[in-house]
Amino acid sequence: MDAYPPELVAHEAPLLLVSGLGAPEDLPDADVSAAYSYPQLAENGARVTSTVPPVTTPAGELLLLHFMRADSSGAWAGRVTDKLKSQTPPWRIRAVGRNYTLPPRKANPPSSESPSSPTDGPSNRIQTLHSPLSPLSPDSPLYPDGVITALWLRKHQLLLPAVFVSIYELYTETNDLPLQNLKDNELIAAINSQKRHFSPNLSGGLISSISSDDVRSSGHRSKFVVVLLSEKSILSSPRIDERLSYLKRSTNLSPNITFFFLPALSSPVEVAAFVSSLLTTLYPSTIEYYRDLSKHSRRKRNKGSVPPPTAPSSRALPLQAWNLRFEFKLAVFAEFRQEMDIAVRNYETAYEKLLTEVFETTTSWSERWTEARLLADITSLRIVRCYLWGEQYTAAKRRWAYHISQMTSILDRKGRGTDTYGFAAWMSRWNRCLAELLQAANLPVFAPVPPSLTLRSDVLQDTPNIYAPAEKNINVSDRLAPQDYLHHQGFYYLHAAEYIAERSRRSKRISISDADNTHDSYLCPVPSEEIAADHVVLQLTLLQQARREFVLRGQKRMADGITYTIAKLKIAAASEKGEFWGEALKELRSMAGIYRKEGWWEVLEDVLWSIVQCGRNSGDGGSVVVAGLELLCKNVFKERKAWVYDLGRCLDGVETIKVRPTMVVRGEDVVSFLTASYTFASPKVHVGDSITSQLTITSSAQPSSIPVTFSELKINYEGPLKTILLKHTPSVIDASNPPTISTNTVSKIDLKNAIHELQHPSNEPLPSPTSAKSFLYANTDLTLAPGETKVFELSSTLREAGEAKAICATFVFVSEGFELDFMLMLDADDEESSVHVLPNRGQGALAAGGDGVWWTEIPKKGIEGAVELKKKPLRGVEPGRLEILPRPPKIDVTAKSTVQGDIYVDEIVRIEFEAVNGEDEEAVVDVGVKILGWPGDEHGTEEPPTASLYPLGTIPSGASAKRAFTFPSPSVPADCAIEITAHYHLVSDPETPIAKPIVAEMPVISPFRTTFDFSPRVHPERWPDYFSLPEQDITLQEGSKERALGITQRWCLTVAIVGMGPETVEIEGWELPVLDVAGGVLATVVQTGNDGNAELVQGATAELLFIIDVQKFSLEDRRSASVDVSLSLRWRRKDVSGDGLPVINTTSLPVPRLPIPGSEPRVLAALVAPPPVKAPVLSPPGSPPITKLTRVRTASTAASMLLPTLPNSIAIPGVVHLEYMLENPTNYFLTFNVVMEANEEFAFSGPKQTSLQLLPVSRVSLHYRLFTFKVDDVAQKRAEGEKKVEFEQDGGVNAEGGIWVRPGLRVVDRYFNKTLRVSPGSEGIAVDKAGLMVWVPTWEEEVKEVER
Amino acid sequence: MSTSSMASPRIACIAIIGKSNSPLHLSTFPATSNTLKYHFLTHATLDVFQARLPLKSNGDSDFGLLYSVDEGLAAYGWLTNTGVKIIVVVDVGGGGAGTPAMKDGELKPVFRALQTAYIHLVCNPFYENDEAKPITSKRFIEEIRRIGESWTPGVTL
Repeated sequence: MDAYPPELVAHEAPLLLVSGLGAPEDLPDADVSAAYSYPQLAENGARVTSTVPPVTTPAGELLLLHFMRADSSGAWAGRVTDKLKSQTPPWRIRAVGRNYTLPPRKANPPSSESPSSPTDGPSNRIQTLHSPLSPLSPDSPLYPDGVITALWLRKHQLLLPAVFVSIYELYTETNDLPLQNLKDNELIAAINSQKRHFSPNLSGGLISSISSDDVRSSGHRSKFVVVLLSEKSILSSPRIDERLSYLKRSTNLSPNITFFFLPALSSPVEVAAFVSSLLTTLYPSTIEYYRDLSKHSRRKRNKGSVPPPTAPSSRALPLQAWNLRFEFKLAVFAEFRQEMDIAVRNYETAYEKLLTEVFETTTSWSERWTEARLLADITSLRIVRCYLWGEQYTAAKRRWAYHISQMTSILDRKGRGTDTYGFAAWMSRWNRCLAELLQAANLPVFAPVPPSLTLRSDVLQDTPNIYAPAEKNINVSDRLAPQDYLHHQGFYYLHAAEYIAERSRRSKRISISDADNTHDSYLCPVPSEEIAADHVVLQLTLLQQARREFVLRGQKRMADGITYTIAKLKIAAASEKGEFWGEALKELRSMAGIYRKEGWWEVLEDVLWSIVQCGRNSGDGGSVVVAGLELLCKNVFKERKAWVYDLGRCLDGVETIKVRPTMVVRGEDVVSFLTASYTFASPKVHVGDSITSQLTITSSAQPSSIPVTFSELKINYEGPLKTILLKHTPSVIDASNPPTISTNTVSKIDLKNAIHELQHPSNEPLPSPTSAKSFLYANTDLTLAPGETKVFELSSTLREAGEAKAICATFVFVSEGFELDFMLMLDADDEESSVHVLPNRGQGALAAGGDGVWWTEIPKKGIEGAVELKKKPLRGVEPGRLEILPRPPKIDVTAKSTVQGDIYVDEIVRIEFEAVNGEDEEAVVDVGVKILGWPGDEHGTEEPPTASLYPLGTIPSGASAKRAFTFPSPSVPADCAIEITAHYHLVSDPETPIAKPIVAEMPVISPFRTTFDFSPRVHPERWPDYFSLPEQDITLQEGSKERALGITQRWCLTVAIVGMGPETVEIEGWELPVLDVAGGVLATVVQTGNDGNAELVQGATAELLFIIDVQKFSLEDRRSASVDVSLSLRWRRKDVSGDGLPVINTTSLPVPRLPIPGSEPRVLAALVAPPPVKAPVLSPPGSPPITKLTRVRTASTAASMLLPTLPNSIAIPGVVHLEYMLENPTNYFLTFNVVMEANEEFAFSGPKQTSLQLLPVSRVSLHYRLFTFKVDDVAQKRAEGEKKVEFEQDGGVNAEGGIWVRPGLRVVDRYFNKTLRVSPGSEGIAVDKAGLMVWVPTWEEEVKEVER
Repeated sequence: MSTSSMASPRIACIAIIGKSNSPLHLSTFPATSNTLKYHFLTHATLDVFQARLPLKSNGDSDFGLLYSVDEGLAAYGWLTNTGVKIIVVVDVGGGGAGTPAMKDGELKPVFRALQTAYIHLVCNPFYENDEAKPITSKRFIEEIRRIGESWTPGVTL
């Protein structure tokens, strides 16, 4: 926009002049005074003067500062953002001195009489005087047919204020009344004299003064405002209020409208607020002011006639042009009022008139034609600005493009076409104007988003930064072209630069003979100057501006593209400007990285060649070498014909290099033609062994390149491996050389035996602090031809344990011109690399997978003695990583338990172990034992596993030590493991502890599984008798404090033990200790089954019987009770291996609580031996109970609880004797009806139906003899075949030679009518859901066996 | 500067950019040997992809107009689920008043066709999809050429 006069592009804002606060602009500067120059200003302008000196107090300076802060001059006044909309409206504020000259309204009459109008009288001339700028005034620059001049805009922008603010200070130095009055009167006089120049029709006094010669009103309607300051506050100068009102009265100013007072000692914040409120108050009147000016112009336009000229002329501005002039003025005044939509309308009308009238009627390429072009540009620019102000971005962009198309069309039709350098210059400028306008506007839609805010969702826009979205009011059917979107200024700077390039190309076509006026030189140099113009600088400036904008908006790649253009431009111009070589090189190096990182090889190739060119010319040898190194890579770069690819000679012939460059280049920073990989033969190795490894280097240099010879190759490791240094020695065919196996392009060099250790002399300083004290080195041929692969097989001995990793291979290249250290990372991570993955990656590895390869020689097929190299994959995760394990323990520990199989609970376990010293020398050995998984006890605390060390002492090499230890196993099953660790150290090396652990699983199981059966039995003893004294020695138990007087009941606990362990267990004895009783009973275990051993093999069952007598302490106590017992087994293993003694273990097994029901009548059925023949089966009714009891007792005593053996009786198969015992432990007389039901299965003898009366606390028995009918069937079947019988379970026939029968004896309490349940009271009687069952043996052997 | 006199918009360049921003394929229409300008042009569009990516959380592939390069060329973008970017540079015909402008989403069928072509390429089990080298498949290149040459606004591919 610099090409246009500043007035034409400035954004209009109401002008406010601050007078009397000093005038920073009034400097004797020619430029500044030129900027404010105006025709006939000095001679004709109205001078606003005052004798009062300017206010220069600090308060005045502060006020001036805040006034100037409110100034918003330039191409964009103020910003339109949502947040700032409530901001003060834009102002243009100028500080002027006390004296100021207003621009004259009318031009001077023509100085000399025009000869063409001699008859015009002077009065006539006065009437037709016009503004000094009018095309009608002969002195005007527009005379006779110009349209508008920048001076007119200057008048309103800078000279003629909307508001004239005059600042005065109230005299407060003393409180001297007369002096104050004097000073106040001076102020009044000064204010009134200034005020006269403004608002001519405000007061009658002014009208009278118009006639006076010295002071005339300027005729301008600017508002006159007075601001008073005071040095002292109202406290020290109490009359201030009074004086102020006096001043107001005398000057006829209204407070806070045209008269303001800034109190003394105002803070900066208060001053700012004062200025702000002053401006807000004055703003409406400025709108009014510019509206009045608009009205004036509109009136003139609507007149529809050309005003009469001051002096007649043959050329005159046509009416349409006059209208254009008025439209333009109207638009400008609307812009002053910030009424942009009105402004746009007026500007558009003006633009249309310009195109249709002025361009068509004005002579092409005349001065006026150029002015019209300028006006068209300015009008368009102002329209674009108005759209931007209204946030109509797409409309703005379209309007901007519309101007281009209009201009193109006009130039093509009437001008010299658009294929001229002048048009390119104009296009560049037009783009640049838009860019600068956007930059000045700083639109929020293009505001660069700070990186810290990008994560906040409210900051994110739909399309941040690139181009503004289309407005909502754009018609949908109105298709939007992509170029209709308004992009940010960077793009337009870029286009401007491109047009400069175009201009530069076109200017080359100018021939010297061309006359100046045959070219379009609108706002650009004439052809003779254009040829010499420095387009490069123009282009560079624009490009740099564009780049800055792109960088600000995060468009780094775009910026890099511009950088490339800049560099190319500098290279092209470097033949004239030598320093451009270096600058271009810097630019190129800065932008090459992104293409390297993202793999844009074509671009990078071009950049690298440019770097080579720049480097050679600027003397930067390092850049040349590095770029040359990169260009060697044939995988991504094309081979350039006629270029000698020789790394060593790439600096030859370059004279500009002063210093021999020395460089260190990291492999991940450049495109490398070399690839290196490092593999260890095995991923794990022990200390003391040696490890073989291979370093594979492959060159993918351009095929035509000279083989590269490195002088050194250094391999660095992380961890306890020593650096390996390979030095170049030219290979000679010699027997002493390391054997080299080579096939085609791959060669393998075995350096395993050629490596020597080299100690750095301790008296010499190390080359660098990081270099190792000692390293391994070998000599070999380090020449690498293009496409060649060399495999170096290396070997190193390991001294320390730890992790080792090959880190980096450094290729040292030394030539006459330079020295290069090229470091290739061997554990390169693609993520961190600044180079994109090269296509050659993965060539070294096999397609089948595996991260590393190992080259091996295999005999070549067909050719005797020849070998070829094959690679095989190594499937380690990281083939370049080596785990060095500590020296392995060589003491062997074996342990075994004396028992085989699982360990049982509550057992004494004996473990024998043996330590055999397999080391080459004596070792001092300690042994630690740890049991893992020991079960917690009931309280949850775990028995701590012992970890103490047991010394075994010194074991000589090859000898062994044997020990054994025992421990009790836990009492509950658990999955334990035992860990025996031999801690030892060699006698020669006590510092290195070595440990050899062995771990053995040790499950602990319980060898027994128990099931319990608890059933009542008929007590053999007689019941207590009402009529006999208690026998103390019977009922009083030992140790019992209380005498038990209740009825004794007998119970039988049957324990079935199943052997669970794999080994046979002998149960040596068992006990049933009573742990606890409840319910007022005395419990005694009277019999613990059969004594003696029971052998329990796996799966077998042993049955143990315990008879328990339970006696209530009291007869009356009828509560139910319970007994807690536990089963204690003494057992041992039958087979104990080794020398283990037969240890007897005791295991206590839990028994469920045994319930004893309360005292209720009950019926027990028991099998008994046949009674003596003589004895009555049933006592006759009415017989004394004592007799019966005695009988029962007699019978019961004879019967043991297992089947009794009665020598006299004869066991008959199928016959059993059954005794029902009815017990009445209550204190009532009870009567029972007893019915024995008939049954198909058996016959019985005994009472079929009877009635029994039971006395309190008494019992009676009923005896039956049962004979089953099925005996014969069973016997027969058995004879036929056992198997058949075995499976015939139904019908009560049992495979074991007996059957179950179901005698149905019903015992009904007559009084309560309640049936008593019959409970089993001995072996051979059982109960199931259907009722009582009796086992009847039907086979003789069975019977005998049972009897036995 | 594009001084195309063609009235109708046409495709000037199609570029396939890999996940890690490396160029996989670049065709110009008509084919020229000097594609460096288009390399720069398409590379610079990656900025826009990068800037807009956080906003594209809805899985929308169409990045629409990236920007118009000058009065003649406009770059449009498309992002596949696997991070492959497709860029189509359209020569909109000089930007004169009479040229038919581009409709919103006019290029969607082009991008779909290009993506389908790419999917067919990747589905080939012998295609090594490591983004380290440009695509060499003849069939793919031919398909790109067909799409690039046959498209005009409103045409279904």
